[in-house]
Amino acid sequence: MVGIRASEVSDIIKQKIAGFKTDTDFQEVGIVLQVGDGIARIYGLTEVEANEMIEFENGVKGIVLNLEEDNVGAVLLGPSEGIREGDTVRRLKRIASIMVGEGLLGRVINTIGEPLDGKGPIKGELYEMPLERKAPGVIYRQPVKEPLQTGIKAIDAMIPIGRGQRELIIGDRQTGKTTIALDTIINQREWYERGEPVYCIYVAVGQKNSTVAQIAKVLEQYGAMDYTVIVAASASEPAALQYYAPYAGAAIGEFFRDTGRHALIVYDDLSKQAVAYREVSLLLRRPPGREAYPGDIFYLHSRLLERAAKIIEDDSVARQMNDIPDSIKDMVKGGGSLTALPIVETQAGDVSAYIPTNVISITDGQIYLETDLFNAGVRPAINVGISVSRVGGAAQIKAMKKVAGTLKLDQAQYRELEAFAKFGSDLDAATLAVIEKGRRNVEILKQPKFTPYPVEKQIAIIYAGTHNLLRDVPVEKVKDFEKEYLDYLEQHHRKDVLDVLKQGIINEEVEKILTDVALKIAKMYKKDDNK
Amino acid sequence: MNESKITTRYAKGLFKVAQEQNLLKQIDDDLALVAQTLKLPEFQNFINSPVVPVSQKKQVVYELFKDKINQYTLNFLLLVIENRRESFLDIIIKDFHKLYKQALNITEVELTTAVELDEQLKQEFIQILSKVTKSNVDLNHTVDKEIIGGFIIRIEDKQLDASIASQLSKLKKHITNN
Repeated sequence: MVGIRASEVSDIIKQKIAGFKTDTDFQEVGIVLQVGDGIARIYGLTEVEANEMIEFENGVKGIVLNLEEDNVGAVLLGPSEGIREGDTVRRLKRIASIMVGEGLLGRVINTIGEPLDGKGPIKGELYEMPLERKAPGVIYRQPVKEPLQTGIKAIDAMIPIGRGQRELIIGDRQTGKTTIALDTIINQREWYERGEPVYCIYVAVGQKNSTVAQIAKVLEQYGAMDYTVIVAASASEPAALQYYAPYAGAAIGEFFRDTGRHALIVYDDLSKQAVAYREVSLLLRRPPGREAYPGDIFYLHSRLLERAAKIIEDDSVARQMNDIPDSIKDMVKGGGSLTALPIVETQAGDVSAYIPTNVISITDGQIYLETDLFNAGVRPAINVGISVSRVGGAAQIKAMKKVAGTLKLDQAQYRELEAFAKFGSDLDAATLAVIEKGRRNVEILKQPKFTPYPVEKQIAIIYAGTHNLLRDVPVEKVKDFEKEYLDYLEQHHRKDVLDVLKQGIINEEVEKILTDVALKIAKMYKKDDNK
Repeated sequence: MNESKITTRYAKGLFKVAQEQNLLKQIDDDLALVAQTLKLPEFQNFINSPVVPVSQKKQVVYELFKDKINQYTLNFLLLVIENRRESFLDIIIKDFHKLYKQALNITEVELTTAVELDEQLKQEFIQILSKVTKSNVDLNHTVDKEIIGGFIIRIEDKQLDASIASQLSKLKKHITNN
């Protein structure tokens, strides 16, 4: 390290002291009556507003949640050690908020915007965004129309997600929920390189710090941190920080959304956030309801997910949007979007538990992951039958829509007939054909983690699957076929096929080439088999 | 929170009587004496005990205060005990004091300094504060060496911290930030 001269240090300190203002004015204060379990009860602060930030004598901040007749209930955003009964508490006169800007990209921060990655302070211009903000009203929105490519074949083909949509990822532990979210984030690199980035926000609630570090490492490794912010409130943080973390993430997403850009936010996961909120609510003595969750647990999630939106293109209308924070008032543009991928963990596949049903009813569809499929080697372990996307179809690119149109139905049919096949009974040729085709499609839809497929390749391989061009390829060779087929297209037909598909166009000419190539390669596998 | 409803109602009732009888000052002083007595652990235990019968509590309170406080105050105490609200007595007294101050336009101000103040300085403080708050100031002065110098003024929920200690901690924050 290059030595620092003492004079330099004292110069800096001198400057700081010169710039120090000693203005004192009347401040509104209260007195701590009681502190513990991450909450404080405060006497005084008669003028304080709900959701306002307060500061304790030792610098720990809090957020006011309960305004009662003779006291104020607040959650602490830091350790309760060092706060004593009788300490004064001061109003900060600003609503709970986070400082947001482009400088956050590539960083890991906590709920109140403090960096956790040891890379120094957040650089660049920052804008204050409130944690709690009303979602845009009806007239400032438009239906989803652009696709958000996840890079996962099964999702982009059968459960398409549009920009501005809210698609729930639900499943038991260890079924690959986080992996789907991370794949989606990694796949956005393509748009980042193209100069039309989809900014990503990954909110980790109640996870292990080691898991968060692992996720940051994976994203770094695949070059995804350039356009990603991680908001982490790990299991060791106070419940209040865990409860507010998704709101902080949403505030960051809204900054991009309202400045006319696209953003994707992953809430991993909302069941842990609900537990954190239950803790805070019970400590504040709010009446418990079903499963001891407070009465407003539905509103907790609905108001959060409602903030995902596709904003109307017209700038002049967008500028009128409700509840725009003053800090970004001059920067508002139309056409932006915030897509949300909330994650909810179920216990033993029970989707009818309280929190899962709530979130399912709020979102625009769900991707349901199953342990059995996962263990059978179908990864991603998506149960196609009960996974849906209620609005994404409108955003799917034309070529994909045409090619994958029958895929979902085919697979449903296959699953039904598959049960019969297990008995080993004699099957007629038509049934056998459906089963054989279904088996190959399942193979096609398998995909290793962190390998997103560009959309044109997805279309090409799904075309081969749905048109039953793989009938001569043995099931266990489908993966090899896929690789060879796509490599061949990449080498020989980049311009005339793949680039055309990428634009969402599929015509007879393209279809013919795809068919020819697929049959040609499939034939080689047939020969292999006969040897 | 029913407690505060109970206490304000009793306080208001007593206050109305005091106003009608023009005994505000006297009853407030009486209650201050009662509040002081309430702080004694023996008396506190006795008054709050659920085992002691009401009649006995009333008798003791009567004997204890009959020559020391006004008839109305005494009646009030007996009523509170009769209604089994004696555990709220201290809060009722506080609420009454609040009403009393409101009626006479008195503002209580807490002043903390690092050194003792002489009478003249105190008077100056009172004068300035009276002007600012537009009311009669009741100054409570405490000495706290920890604040090093300067003063802290506290008017109900508002605080003006012009102490050296807080200035230093602000300066520390300013330098260590970034």
